[in-house]
Amino acid sequence: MQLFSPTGLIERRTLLRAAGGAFLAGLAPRAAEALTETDAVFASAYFDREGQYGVALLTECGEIVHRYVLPERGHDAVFDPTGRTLVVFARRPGTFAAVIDTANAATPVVFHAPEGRHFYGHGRFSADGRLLYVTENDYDNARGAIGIYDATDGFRRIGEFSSGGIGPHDMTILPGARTMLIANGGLETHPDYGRTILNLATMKPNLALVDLRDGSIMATHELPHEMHKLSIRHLSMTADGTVWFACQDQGDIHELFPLAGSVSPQGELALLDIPEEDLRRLHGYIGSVVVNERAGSVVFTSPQGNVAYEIDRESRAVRARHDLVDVCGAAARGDGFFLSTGQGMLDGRQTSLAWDNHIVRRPA
Amino acid sequence: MRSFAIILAAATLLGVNSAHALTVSDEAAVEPVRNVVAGFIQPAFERFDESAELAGVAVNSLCEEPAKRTLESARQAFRDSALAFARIEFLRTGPLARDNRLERLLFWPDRRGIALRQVQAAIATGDESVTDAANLPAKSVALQGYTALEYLLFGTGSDKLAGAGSSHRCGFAAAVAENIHAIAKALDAEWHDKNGYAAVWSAPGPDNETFRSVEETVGELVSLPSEAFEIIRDQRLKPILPDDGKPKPKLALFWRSGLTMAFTQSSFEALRTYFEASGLAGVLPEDERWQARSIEFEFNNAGDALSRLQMPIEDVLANEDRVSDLKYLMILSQSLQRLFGEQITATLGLSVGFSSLDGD
Repeated sequence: MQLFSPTGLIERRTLLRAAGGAFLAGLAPRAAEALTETDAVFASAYFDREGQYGVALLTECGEIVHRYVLPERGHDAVFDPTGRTLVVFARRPGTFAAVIDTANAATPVVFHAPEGRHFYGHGRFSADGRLLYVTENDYDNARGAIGIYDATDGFRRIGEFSSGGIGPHDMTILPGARTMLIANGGLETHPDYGRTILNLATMKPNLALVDLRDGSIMATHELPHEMHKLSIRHLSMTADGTVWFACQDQGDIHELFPLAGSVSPQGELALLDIPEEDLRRLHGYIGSVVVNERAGSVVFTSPQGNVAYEIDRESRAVRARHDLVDVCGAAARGDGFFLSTGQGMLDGRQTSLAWDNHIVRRPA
Repeated sequence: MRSFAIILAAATLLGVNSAHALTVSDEAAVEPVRNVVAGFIQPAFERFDESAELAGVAVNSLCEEPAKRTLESARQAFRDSALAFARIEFLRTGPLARDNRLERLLFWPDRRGIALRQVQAAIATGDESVTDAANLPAKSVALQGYTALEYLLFGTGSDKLAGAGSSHRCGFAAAVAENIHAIAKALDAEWHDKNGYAAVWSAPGPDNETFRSVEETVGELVSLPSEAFEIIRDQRLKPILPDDGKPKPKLALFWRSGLTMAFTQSSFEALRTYFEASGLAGVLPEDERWQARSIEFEFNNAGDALSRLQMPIEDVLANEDRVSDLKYLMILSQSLQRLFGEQITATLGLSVGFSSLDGD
């Protein structure tokens, strides 16, 4: 584990300076008060005017509680079960993860993917918070892996298991804490070739169910062959263990395949029958999926389509449509959703930050 | 990618970009698409179809009459056909994006040498099924296109094609050449179909299922070259000049046929013609015309560098000055990618968001 500051430990005030004058200047009295008095509810990676990447803690209303500078672009983040520790993952093909102790606003520390690996931007804590699982690309061997990091020992990497496919992206731990569902996006990439997809014609995404006790693959779910270019990327789970998934179409997006679906606790996969007109608006791309337990709904966002669709989980029909340019970040709030955009909109207000693809909610 | 994101995000945060706010009229914005279809794309696919057909004829002649002369004709026809392909391979929209056509024509990059293994296995086992073009579409894409054909005509053992006893290998090559031609013919026909993709692309509207708005139509026009330069840099140049400084000539596309740099030159020339035929420069506001001049300037620079690089890739990598040219070409491809993907995109008022870029 090492600090990302090349000079070693840096004090918080140095970090704040590094975040740019805009940060301090932008702290209105109310925000300053929030910094000490209001619990952060959400976290999301961002990009600011000075060209700096970071992650922000946000209140329920979208006020910025605190900003942390990141060495490169972040993607998703995850809180540990206590809600105190936040880990932000580098966007693929990045290799860092930044660990933040939200209780004392200490300087983030980073750990890295091992040699020959990069992260995909997502991870999950074990139910007891002792382990952190991270999706990784073992790129020389073209296989997906889940790295296991010990959260009680400085996030030391203590093992790994196969993700059950190529290009693992998001994952979720199912009720009972013994099994993990992994979205293997199916895309083979290698840093030597930038973002080039090396197996477009043969890609075979899947949802792999893994036994966390020994890393064995218990089952894999694949989409019908004609949909093999639907890269399954993101997941969101309901309390009963139904997992909603969202895809990104790597083929001809005008062919209009279903871009989302669900897997029941019994393992039944059902694609979402999105009306053609709505499907067309998604432009073959869903960037984020989030369940709202209380509202009985699930939201799918499409920054390419400038739209977010709220789906009724019971009837599986479109409940609402939100037109929002470059919308991607989403989190459940009350009976609705808290949304962000790459153009700075956050919960309906324009901010000075470009928000990255995901918003994570702190455990209650 | 970082600086790319910085410029864009800065632009979006400053309010330069907003969705559905083209800076030119709808008619003016669609005109470059019509221009480029008629002035570059359709002729390029015609030429591709013709050269693919000639390659098929030449390989068949080789099989019927194995000799040094017919082998050389077949190899030359391969070169012509591959260079014609270089002119259309970046048009990864519509016909070429369907049915795995692009991957069937060019299985590349092939980091693990799958094509080589499969082609060698088919030769070693004397697999008769690969000598019939009708069977190829159902087989691995690695057996169907230019990388397979290049190995058959230029790889280990290919000189024996000039003599008797290589009928299986030659039959395999003829089947691949015929398969390539079949795809080329279909692409040409689809681009010339009056109600086909060309019409769909250039007539956006609420009833158009593919292009609902002028923004989408114009967005496709500028994204194709932007992606093309990224592919040239990431797939064609970067792997042979990796960060560790050890040149890897055998990771170059078409190193066996000595076509690596000619292919790249053909790609750049095609992209320049695409830009010029579109008349996109004329659509830019007066005070933004410098972008078009910058593009011309960079194309000139690339042309100069490429003219010095016309030699087998092994020779390029063995010469310090030529390696510098290659590195310069990488910088130029980055620059051109930005000019199309950022500058012109922003000038035209197209929305390119931080979140929607570079899918994840």
